[in-house]
Amino acid sequence: MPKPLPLLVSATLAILAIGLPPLEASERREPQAVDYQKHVKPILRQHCWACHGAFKQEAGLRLDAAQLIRKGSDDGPVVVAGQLDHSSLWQKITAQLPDRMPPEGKPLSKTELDTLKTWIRQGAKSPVSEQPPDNPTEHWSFNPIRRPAVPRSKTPGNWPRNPIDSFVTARHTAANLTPRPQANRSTLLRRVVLDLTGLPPTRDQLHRFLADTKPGAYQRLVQRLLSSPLYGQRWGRHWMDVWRYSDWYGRRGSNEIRYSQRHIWRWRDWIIESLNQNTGYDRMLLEMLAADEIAPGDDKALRATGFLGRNWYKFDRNAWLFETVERTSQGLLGLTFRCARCHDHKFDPVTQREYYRFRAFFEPHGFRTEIVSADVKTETDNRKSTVLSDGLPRVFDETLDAQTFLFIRGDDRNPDTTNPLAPGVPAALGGKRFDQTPIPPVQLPPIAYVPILRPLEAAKRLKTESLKVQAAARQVDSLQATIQTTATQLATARKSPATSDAPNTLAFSDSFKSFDKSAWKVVSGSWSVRDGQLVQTALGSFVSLVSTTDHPRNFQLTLKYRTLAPGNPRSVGFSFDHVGPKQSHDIYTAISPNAQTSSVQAFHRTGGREIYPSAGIRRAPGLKIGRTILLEATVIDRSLTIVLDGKTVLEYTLPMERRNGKFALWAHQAHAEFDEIQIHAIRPTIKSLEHSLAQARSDLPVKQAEVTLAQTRLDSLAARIAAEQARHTGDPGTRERLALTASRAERQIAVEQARLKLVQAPDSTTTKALATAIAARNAADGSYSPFPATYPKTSTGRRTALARWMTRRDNPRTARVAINQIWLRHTGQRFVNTVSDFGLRSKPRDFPLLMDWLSAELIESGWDMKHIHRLIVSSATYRMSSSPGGEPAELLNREIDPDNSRLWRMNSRRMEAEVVRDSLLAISDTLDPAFGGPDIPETQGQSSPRRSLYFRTTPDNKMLMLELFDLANPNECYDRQQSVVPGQALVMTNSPLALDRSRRLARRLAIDLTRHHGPITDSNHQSLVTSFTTSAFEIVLGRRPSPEELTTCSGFVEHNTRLLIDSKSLTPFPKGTGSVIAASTDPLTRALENLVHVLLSHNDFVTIR
Amino acid sequence: MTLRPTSTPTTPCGRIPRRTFLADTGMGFTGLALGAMLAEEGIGRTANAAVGARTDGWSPPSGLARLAPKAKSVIWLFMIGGTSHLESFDPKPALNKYAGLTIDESPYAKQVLESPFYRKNVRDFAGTPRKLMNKLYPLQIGYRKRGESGTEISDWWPHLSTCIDDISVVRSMWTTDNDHAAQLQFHTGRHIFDGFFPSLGSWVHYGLGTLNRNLPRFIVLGNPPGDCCGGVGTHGADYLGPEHAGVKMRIDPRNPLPFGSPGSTVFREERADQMGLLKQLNQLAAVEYPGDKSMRARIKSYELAYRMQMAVPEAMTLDGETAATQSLYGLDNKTTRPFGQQCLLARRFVERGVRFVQLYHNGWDAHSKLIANHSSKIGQTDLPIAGLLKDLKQRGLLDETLVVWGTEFGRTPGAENSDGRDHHPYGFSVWLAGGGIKQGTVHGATDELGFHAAENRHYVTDLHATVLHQLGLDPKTLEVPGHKRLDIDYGTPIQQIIA
Repeated sequence: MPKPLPLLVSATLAILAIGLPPLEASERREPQAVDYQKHVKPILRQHCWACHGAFKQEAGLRLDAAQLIRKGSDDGPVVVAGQLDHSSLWQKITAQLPDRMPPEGKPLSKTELDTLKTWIRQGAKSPVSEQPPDNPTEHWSFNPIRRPAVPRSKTPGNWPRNPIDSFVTARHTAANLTPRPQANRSTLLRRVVLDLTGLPPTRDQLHRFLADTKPGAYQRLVQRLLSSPLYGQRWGRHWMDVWRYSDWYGRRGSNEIRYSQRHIWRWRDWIIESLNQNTGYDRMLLEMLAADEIAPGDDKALRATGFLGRNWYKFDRNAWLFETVERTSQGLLGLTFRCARCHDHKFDPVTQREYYRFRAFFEPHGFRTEIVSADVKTETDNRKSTVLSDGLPRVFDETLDAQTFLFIRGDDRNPDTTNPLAPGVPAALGGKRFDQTPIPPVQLPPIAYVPILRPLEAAKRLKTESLKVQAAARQVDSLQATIQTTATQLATARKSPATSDAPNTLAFSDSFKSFDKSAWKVVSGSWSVRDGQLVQTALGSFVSLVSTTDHPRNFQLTLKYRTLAPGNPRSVGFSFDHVGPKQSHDIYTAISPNAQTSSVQAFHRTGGREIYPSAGIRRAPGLKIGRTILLEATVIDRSLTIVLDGKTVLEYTLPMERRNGKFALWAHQAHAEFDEIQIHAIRPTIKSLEHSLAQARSDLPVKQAEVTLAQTRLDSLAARIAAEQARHTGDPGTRERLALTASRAERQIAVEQARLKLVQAPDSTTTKALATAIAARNAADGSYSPFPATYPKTSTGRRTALARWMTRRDNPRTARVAINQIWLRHTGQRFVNTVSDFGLRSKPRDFPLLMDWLSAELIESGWDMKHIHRLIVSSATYRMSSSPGGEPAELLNREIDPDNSRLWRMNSRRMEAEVVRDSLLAISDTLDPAFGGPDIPETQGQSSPRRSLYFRTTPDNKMLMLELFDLANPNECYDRQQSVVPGQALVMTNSPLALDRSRRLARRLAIDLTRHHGPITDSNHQSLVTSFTTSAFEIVLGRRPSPEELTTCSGFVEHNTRLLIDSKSLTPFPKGTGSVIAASTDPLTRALENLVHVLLSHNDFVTIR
Repeated sequence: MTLRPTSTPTTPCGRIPRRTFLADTGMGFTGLALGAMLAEEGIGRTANAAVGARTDGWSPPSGLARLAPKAKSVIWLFMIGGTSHLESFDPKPALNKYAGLTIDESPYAKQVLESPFYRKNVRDFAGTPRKLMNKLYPLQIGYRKRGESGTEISDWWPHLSTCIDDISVVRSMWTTDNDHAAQLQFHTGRHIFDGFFPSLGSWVHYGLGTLNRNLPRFIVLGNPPGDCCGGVGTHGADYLGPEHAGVKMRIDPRNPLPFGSPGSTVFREERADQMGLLKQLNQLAAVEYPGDKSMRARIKSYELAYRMQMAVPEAMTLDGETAATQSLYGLDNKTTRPFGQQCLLARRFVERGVRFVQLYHNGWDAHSKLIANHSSKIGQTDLPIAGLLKDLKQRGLLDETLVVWGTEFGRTPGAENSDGRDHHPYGFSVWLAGGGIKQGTVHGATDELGFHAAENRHYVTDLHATVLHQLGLDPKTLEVPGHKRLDIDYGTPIQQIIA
């Protein structure tokens, strides 16, 4: 609400104002004449214009032009010449809060007040008329892009090659500038190859290009480069800067994610693939913001939503959405929105309300991870939750009715809940047109909300079931094998009953007179023999002592021991079938401190898990700390009997197949003393063999029924999935047919369960149950257990609407922001200096017409980025030499436009960090150009040959070498720094990468040379060094050396060789990071290595000329 | 000492005549400088003027302080985990008196719980407020008045107590993060929810010229906070660019710098030979590109890197220090040696003109076993810090060196259902010494329970403003285009502790 500015201020306030001591003090001085333009206007601009200017006119008052100041507010004049008391402006700025102006921030300083006072006293003189500032919404960047006419121009030479040049020439002509001629062919080649692929040209490429003098050679080169998949890697990294790519971070050590998304590298791969396929910029934005709405079943497209997932933040939803709003607007719209979080924008025509309406687009969205293969693995995060080891993070509208409120003063604890806000875009950017239609919600296909409909999800579930079938079938196989061997054993035994009926024999015993190293191996803990007792005194998890030999398959155990304090739960146990710490059968006693829950138990370990079936647990209240326990166990095949202190306490069937293995003693969080252990082998008797055989034969039909049951479960799942798919997508006939199949298949499970029970216990109940189940199956009516819809069936459509608005022809920003980025990254020059702020504070733009022409071209070509690249790199402008030249006209250029703001030459640029590192690898032929895949730990930067953009980059994880070369700040990087710091010199001179690569390259070149010219002799020495130097220049710097450079280098080689011949007198450096490839022992080769190494430090190596 | 390198004469329109350029790159490296030094020449940052966003009339700070500086360098001692203010610099007898009672049962219930500051400033992680540690926990160590100033300090700090008359304790700090990301906040002035921003040291690096052209301007020793809590962001430079970030050095004079040596299989003489070739080749190429500031900067940066390789190990070699000095810092004792080495190195660095030395000491998060934890942590740092202050003083360096001791927050007056205290952002202590700071004063106060900063409250940015002010930088105007140093909470220098 605009506050009326009263003409008369209350008496109190007036007195207060007059009574201010500093004012009194200044009255005694004779003030200097105050000038409106020089003194007054800056004060008004700084303190008043935000609310009383072109932008807003609180109380109808504008203070940004002389005649408007004189006009005053809705209530009349605010400045009365010579009369402070009647000037409400004066009253207001000297009042106390809440009446004071400005109402927020600091009051005017004493000096400022003095100036205004003197000005009013001296008659408030101001110009008769003064042009008020333009309506801010008329600023170019708030108005749609119109394609300007291409200026006609005629310049000597090859100008203009295309419309870009015509615009540039017009500026040249106007400023009397002479454009530089085309760069020499090797410089041009290196420039365009680096620009489009991020790798330096190879020597072959150089030779071919220099030899290709046919017309159109350059155009053909450009075409090849744009078709190369390396283009996607190069420009992918550029857009990753702007779109704020970051791998997930938090606490890697404990696998705790705090920011971004796991597996967000899939978004990076999507960026690269989309660029290589030349997907339109508009389509890319659409998929990044709303692939879940426009392509909900397309996993490839869903990767794009990593753009939003990157902002995810574990601890604070508001921090997350703030980032989303501010980064989207900065990166895509050139709109700095941040300040409107707390208050209306002071400089641009956007309000705080509009900020939150923009947020409303994103309010409902959340993130989830889809599986990417049926064999997906899982891992544990810091909360012991299971997370996918690989997956696809994707956006979806999670809370459809989430409301958006304005946060008063930006404070998320203070939402204005009286006023929920609908999504909208700032009016100044064309929001009115946007608001005319409500956003239609998007009906999602079932695959987006019923997970089982995703083929991979179905495959995963089916796979789980089919693994169960296989496991059951293996049990049948194993049982059949048992039947066969037992039958054979029985036959043998019957032939010679005497031997096989031999009594049990002692297989192992130890009464611990001394520690028998041949019998036991300490795995963990502290085990020692003391006074005829084996004592374990270390506290830990499953502290174990393992036998060195296997135990007999069927055996009887006698174990005498005591559990001692301390620890909880104080368990002591025995493992058998022990294949390792992850595979064993176990029995143990546990004594809890209060003795209430003491127990004896059987359990087993498999696949890294401990499984405690409830059937294996028995209470054992008699157990006491310090009292001797006698544990006896009999294991015959799958049956286990435990006798505790003479009493049978457990008869149990081992749930896991038996395996041959060792035995072990262990203590878990306990101290223990063992008196004695004995293991007797149980020899099978004819009787026991007969028993076993009968048992196995009777088990067989049960196991077979279990296989059928498992298979039926699998069939049922498959049938239900098919029915579910048909229900959502099929024709009515198919739907009905498949539903019936599913219904039948599901009821078949009950049939097979009943069959299993019948086989286990054939009686009237089970017989009847089977009949009932069969009847139910036969009565199948097409009903089956459906799969639940896990996610909302609709999406709000908000993000689609936002993306479509962004890429409308009349959106004033999107294309311009993109064109500015592309132009910058080709020419080192910006149309708009502040690439993420196109608002009123941005400097006037350079080449406005060219910018708009290119922007229109981008839109009208179908947002075809390769088309724009081609246009730019084909222009005469791009092809100019970056050297300023020395001709008189060129010297004049430097006088007229020393900063090259009008592009009379091309700019030299420092390579981006990734290009520096990739170039090091490329020149030594060791770059692995492989595409895609999970982020590689940044610590492998010196050893892994992958391209740099595949290494982990987060605010916490940055490869040091890349960081020294101004790696993109993953939090915010709309353009990169180009620093020159000593750290870069240290990397290039001392890093393993630079040392190794220069040695490798030098040796390769030396071998090539001797292969062609034979061994080095005094007579060919000079020419070989020349050839070597030439090749090294071509590979490292992409050009041939000049005669002076050749002489210098050969002088170096000679001197350096001589120096190295007598290396004993030389001083070594201290130990460093080291290198993999040692320097050559041959002084000449080492000097050549040193030469290559110097070229890596050459300014032209890291510079794109 | 001149802060500016001898600059190359330029023609009125800024061009550098070819001959001058060659002469400069070829012969006199009279003005070797670090990256930021180069920035002062306008060449460190964005090499080509046409490339830069920096052509809008703005230029990097001159390297000369804007206000009259009182200090040249800062030694910043940071205790990671949260040191108990109560058992250190702000002892509260009321805790002993009401020990075992809850805050509600104490006479101060209203004062604490109805304070306008209670929970109002704190921004909670995951929206869950931290529990109030209600049950008052007595002081775990005695305390007494020390020095002529009579400042009360706990008995765990016997050595620092002897320096108390050089120190200004500020007992009324507060912050808004009740978890350890307050470490980031302590260095950038922003809550971690607001993201990452340049650290104080990086602003000092950016804002001031160097005093030594062979050493980094901002050096970090010790282990920085974990990734949870800002990580290297606590000495990072964020949008100021990596050249302004703290350079973390290992306490190992043989290999202190990243990529500081090519290894012992390379000889200095052959490297010198290479540097000679490099210079010549760059000069030959330079003929094509007169006025290429970036090339000039690169040539200088190589010279400088070469010299840093020599200077840094020298600065980090403690062998030359006398036995008395070594023992002053506790180098002769296993407990005090690690931090003692850091403190002694800090002195050597400021002596050599390093502007900002940031020292980390870890492990103060005493949720339980406070006695064991704090007596041990203080035992590791008390003597070295006192040694540092004494040594600086005896060498006449304390006047120009500002020593700051801080921690991310204090610890709760109540016990955490254990023998320890929880995180406490509402009120805690830091201290400053030297560098134009008043001697032997206490400023600000917490309430009787040590809960809220009650008198002369200071948010962490006030501490930053004080440091900048003492260095002669104006905390309000320090900025780069497109970024204010802080959008709000610029902080105000704590005038009451400035001499």
